[in-house]
Amino acid sequence: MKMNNMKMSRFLAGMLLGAALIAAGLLLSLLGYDALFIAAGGVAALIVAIVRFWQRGDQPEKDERTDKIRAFSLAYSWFASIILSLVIFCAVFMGIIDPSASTALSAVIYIMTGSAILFIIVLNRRGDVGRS
Amino acid sequence: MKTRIKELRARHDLTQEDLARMVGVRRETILFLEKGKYNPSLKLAYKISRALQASIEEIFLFGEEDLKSS
Repeated sequence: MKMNNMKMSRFLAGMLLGAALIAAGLLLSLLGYDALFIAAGGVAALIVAIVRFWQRGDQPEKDERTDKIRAFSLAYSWFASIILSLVIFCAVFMGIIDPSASTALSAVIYIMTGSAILFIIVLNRRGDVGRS
Repeated sequence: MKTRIKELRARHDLTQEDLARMVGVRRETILFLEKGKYNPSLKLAYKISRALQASIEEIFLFGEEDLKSS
């Protein structure tokens, strides 16, 4: 019962977040800002909340294996990001590229997010972190 | 690492979902345990041994190679 309540709370929180983002994105767009990506993020949040609620049944959302995989994925993604930051820094220092601050930050954000998701998928398929 | 979870589970007429619910993990975790692809924590191993009414040594079979690798 406690698990179901928690799951329902998370589902409602996800739906509320999605709805708020969609409303904010549309409102800002109507006011002339280029903010449709916020509404797109809201749609993504809604889809994630619905799919997670629908898929998981009455299983726990996480356990010790998924916690371990998430922790290691974040650590690996942090490592990938620091390597990328180093590469960008060296490339700028040597005059090979000249990205703006926002471009460089965007690259790091995309790499952090993307690599974390990728590591979670790969490790989930393998079943565990490291050798077993 | 090899395990006898599948065999003992069948002996107790339990599905993967039943066992997962009994020990509080996701069904996939039981699947990976049965395949020997996941090393459980001592706490989970203990919960499984209680659920299957067998000792940890009877359920989880470590060979010499398993003990050498980290």
